[in-house]
Amino acid sequence: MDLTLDDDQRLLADSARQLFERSYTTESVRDAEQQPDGFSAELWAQVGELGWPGIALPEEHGGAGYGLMELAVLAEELGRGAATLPLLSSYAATLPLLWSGSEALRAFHIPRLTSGEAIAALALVEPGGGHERSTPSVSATPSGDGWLLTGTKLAVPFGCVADLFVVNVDLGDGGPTLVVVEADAPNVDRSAHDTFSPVPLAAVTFNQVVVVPEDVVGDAPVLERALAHQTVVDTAYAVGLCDAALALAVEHASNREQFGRPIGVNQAVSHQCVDMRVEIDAMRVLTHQAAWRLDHHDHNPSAAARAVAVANSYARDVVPSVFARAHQVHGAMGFTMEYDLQLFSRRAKAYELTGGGAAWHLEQVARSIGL
Amino acid sequence: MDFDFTPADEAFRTELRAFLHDELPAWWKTVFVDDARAMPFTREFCSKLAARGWLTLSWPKEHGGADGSVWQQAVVREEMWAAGEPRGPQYMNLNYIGPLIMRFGTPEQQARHLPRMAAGDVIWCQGFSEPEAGSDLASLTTRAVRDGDRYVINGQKIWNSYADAPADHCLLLARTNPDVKKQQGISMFLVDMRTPGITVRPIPSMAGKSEFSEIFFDDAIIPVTDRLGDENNGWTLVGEGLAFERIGIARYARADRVLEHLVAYARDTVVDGRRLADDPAVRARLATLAVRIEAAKLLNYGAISIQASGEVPAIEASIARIHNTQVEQLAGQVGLELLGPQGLLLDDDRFGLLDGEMQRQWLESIPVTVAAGSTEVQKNIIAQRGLGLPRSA
Repeated sequence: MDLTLDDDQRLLADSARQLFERSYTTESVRDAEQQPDGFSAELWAQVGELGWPGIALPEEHGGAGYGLMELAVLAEELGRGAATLPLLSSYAATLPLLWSGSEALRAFHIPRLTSGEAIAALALVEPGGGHERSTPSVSATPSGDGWLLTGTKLAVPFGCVADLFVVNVDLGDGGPTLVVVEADAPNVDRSAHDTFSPVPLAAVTFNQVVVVPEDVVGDAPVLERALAHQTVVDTAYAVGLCDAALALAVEHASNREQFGRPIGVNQAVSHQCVDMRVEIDAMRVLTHQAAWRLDHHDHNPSAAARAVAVANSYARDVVPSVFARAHQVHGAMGFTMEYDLQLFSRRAKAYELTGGGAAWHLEQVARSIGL
Repeated sequence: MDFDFTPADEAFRTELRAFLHDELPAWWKTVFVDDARAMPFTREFCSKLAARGWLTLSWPKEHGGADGSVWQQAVVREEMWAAGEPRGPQYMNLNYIGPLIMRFGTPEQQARHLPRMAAGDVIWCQGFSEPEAGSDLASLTTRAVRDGDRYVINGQKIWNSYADAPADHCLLLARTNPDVKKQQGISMFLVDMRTPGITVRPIPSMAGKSEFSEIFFDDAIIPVTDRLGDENNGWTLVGEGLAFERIGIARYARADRVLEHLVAYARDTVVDGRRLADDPAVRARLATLAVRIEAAKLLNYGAISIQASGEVPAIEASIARIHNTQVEQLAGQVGLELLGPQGLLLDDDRFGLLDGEMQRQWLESIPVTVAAGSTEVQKNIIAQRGLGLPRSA
């Protein structure tokens, strides 16, 4: 047992933190939000040179061969910097290809996903109030060797710039199936959503898009495991968001004076900051456990599934209260656009609303304890 | 990074569990129940642990210990607390009173006290709080007045767990200099409870028997050689002792045992034609308890990991403690909630449920956010030392 980061992980965290503190400050974050694609292509290129898109992908495909734990360490720093990049979502969409894709498919796509030249996106959510795990209604009618896909997916992260989609469809056999669709395939249309999410989201419409058996990259268990990876690194990102909000709150409570003294000397204020810290530390250690157990998945799959559910349900339960406290400590300043807190609280809300809510994850915990 | 115990540590846990299974009588619950057999049993049990070398596992070899790793110590704490802490009051000897004597005691004090602690045959209580010195402990007024080679002690202590066990010794804080800043005039003493002039009065408490007493000192005379550390340096020792204490109890481990029993109960109990385990509200409540237990456990492991790397996890231990005390209370709350009206019945009522475990969990957990530094005091420490927030003038 040893819950401390090792030297490599610490180095990775330090170098990422420096990048955001020195070169990619919250001013750059504001600029990026104004870009047509909703993120900084320049930062994405820089991150590609650093090898981050492939950090948790195998060396045989050009990755660094580290694990999800290392990506989680990076994700926390991304969150602390309020960085919006396809790093985490593209990684998660790569996993079904890696695990279940044909040799040809992997050889073609994975090296350029590993380098960051290409971006992948999971296309799962559909209109009608569903979520990532809802039964898909995008239909596939048999045609020749394969099928013709028809239907619409919503809230696809970085959907307007993605090079390929991993789409959850109904092939008529009852179970959901994941298929790869290239973004420039005929009859694929996409349009940016009008959203308050800092992550650029797109609607993607498939109008009789040709898919062949070689495009199939997994079933429900593969999807669930990819979502486990996705939600764990997203939670690590949320830890960074929360920690940044806490740092802002502490700074404000230390400097803002009322009645002739800093407001932070009042326990009603200081204990709100402490409560944030008490919850953030728990989020972080639960997230590290989930990442570590997914890295050791084959050794104990049920422990991994449980750790993922525990980390997600805890974080999704406390993130709203962490931000409610951060805003309360800040008073009116906290909701101005010129102040940084809003950058983090909007991202935190995007985290909460994707990947399954606290109740869904809590039900998975219930199952894991024998209920 | 590694989130698993080593196979050797797991094997040790299995051995310890088998030992507990063999040694704990069917009637054993905790030391706080009104059962005359309980306190003597803890002495017997500690002697048996000592015979196996498990009592002072964490102590260094030179003081009769086994130099056990911090993780073996964690295993012991978990298994003991989950089993109702059959070491009774003696966990305090092992966790911090013994270590304080190792660190600050004279060779004579070490020779006198440590072997008896290691043998499992001595009960200590702690004399810190006073009626007017709770969270503001440093304002304590019990006096120890030097008179040649002895001290004369006068004053009153309160909230002393196990003083009526009866305790053999008391780790006492008393004022030796009233004319300096309050923290700088306090000394620590190793007091024989049979000293004339000491009276113990138990305080009946909803949290259970022996949970609290008062101790009165009325011209109690002790030798100078019973002072631990330098005169007026007691406050430093308190800081050390409480740091040892914060992760000294594996509260999550008992909450986890409670959860295990509640899950079994929910699976076996059918109400209005539906198993409790199939009620979504019950599932969510028990799952929430499981999540909070995991958080408390991992935060303790995180603090221990820092300790293992040779650093002092001061803030991390306080954060872990907040989670642990809260989860201990949550377990009692959820437990009684699940039982409903029948949860009101005592374990010897013929309709009582789960052997009274949920009531004990609720009752015994009420003081835990108050004892050894209230949650609010912990939060002040985290605010100032952990977050660097300003302190009030």
